[in-house]
Amino acid sequence: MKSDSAIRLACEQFEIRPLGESSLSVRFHQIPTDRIGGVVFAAAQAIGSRLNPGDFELVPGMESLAVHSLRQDFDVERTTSSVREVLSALNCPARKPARVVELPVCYEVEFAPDLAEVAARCGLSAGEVVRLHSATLFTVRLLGFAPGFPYLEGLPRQLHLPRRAIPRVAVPAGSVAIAAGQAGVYPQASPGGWHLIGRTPRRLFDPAADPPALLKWGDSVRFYSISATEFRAEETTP
Amino acid sequence: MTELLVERGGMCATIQDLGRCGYRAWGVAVGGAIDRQSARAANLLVGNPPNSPLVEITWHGTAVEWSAPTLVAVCGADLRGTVRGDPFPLDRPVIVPPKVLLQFRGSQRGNFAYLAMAGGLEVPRVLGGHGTHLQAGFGGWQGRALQAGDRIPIGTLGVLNRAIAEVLEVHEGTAGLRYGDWGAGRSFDHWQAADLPLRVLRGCHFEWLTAASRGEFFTEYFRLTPECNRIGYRLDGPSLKYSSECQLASLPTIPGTIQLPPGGSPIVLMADAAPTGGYPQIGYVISADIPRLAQVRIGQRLTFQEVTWEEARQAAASTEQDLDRLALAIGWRLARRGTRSL
Repeated sequence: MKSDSAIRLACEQFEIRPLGESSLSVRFHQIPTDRIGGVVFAAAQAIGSRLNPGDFELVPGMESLAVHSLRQDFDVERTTSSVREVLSALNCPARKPARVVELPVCYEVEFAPDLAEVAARCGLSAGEVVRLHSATLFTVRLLGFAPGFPYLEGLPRQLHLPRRAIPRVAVPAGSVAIAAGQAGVYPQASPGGWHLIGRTPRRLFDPAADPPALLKWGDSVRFYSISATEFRAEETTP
Repeated sequence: MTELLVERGGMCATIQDLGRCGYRAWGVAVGGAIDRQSARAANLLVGNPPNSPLVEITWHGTAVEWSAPTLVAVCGADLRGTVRGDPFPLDRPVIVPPKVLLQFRGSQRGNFAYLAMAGGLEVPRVLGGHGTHLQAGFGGWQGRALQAGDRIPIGTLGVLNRAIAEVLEVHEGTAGLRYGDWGAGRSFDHWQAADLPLRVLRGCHFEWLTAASRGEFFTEYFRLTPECNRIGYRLDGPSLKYSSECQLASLPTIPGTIQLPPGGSPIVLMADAAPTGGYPQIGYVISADIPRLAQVRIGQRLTFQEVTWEEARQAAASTEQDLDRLALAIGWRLARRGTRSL
């Protein structure tokens, strides 16, 4: 299957199951990793235009999609068959170029408590870790864990490490992190088990904004290196 | 304008409503009252719409008063609320005189008490809800738990608020409180029924368990560990095992999802859990039983019982009927006022 051609779903490539009493969980199987994101996105759009928008909330996941009913009188059978119909007829268009969001990161030691350890464990220099991280075009595969936290796909193999053995009780807001073959950014101060290799002064989640998150599902993300002086300058002028 | 005056924040008291929808795709939890049924009952008793912002009080230490006479109701856990040393009546509408301190001394039964007041708390709506999101620091009152010195405005009274207050005017209780001889009744005593099994729907990874673990899940006792909060309740019990090693991409979750991490101790996701999670899902506590689970105390034991999807829907409908009956009973009290002196 060529990655730039349209894709149609065979019936064994998706599975629709109830999730509790008022939701459905759609899971996708056997879809090439470079296409799964596009399939989930196209499925969310197609289901969203078929179902009454005020009655349902759609939440795209990594290889799944949740359809949450917002009404008391959820008809599981009717909704399941509507979703099945939409997915059977789904014609995912060739991938559209995603929006690229560039995020400044200060990789200096005061903002990157785990950079030296990550470099040592990967057999690289700190500079090489930074170069690899900032040369990658990541894709937002999910916003989860915390409001606005992006799970970023595309981390180079050389940087794959398991999570920290002991999670931190408090990770500062803006921490740029890697673990388990993924990259991410902590929008708020929170507990966390990922390796912290830098920090961005950008605000990733603002409850007063609409949409509240800086990144959205499917965005491309590139990090670029800034100095501690630049970090502080941006931090003070939001 | 009447204000709620916080004398002491206590262990953790937050403003909640019935949760926010529409922002799960941005990683924002549904949130809201962890025991929605008690929150709704408390609002009904003071004549508020069911989704009005109210205070969720955890365990102990919280102390509040009001700047003017206020119609309030406390439902959910019995946190030994007292006024001038006397017990504060639960599950019924009460008019509290101004500057009289209501203190919660500690849990007698359950974990979360709901303090509703006529007119509802006036806090801004953030991302479709009034509830406090503690982890991300938004919603509720300044995005945080209540603290000493907070003065929170209360909304203007509607017809129903006034009608209930008028019915109570004629009663004089202890400590200057005014309340009637009626309330929400026993159907809201979730904690009383804690020995009943929690009803669950089979999860999408239930079949991944070994045959022995599948049996144990529905027959053995589990105990609530101290690692419990609005995000999730961790349980202790038989060590459940998978028949093979399982790796998952993050999946959608709902409150009530029973996740089983590789360690073997299940975690039940509660109101503030993220809308996605990467651990296998062995079951879902049905929505009608989440309030009961919310009120189970640390160390207390519980069991799970499998039900069908139809049974879960029926249980949810019967929860709605309980609340409808309460609303009808309140309406009847108000209607009767004209024909008979109370």
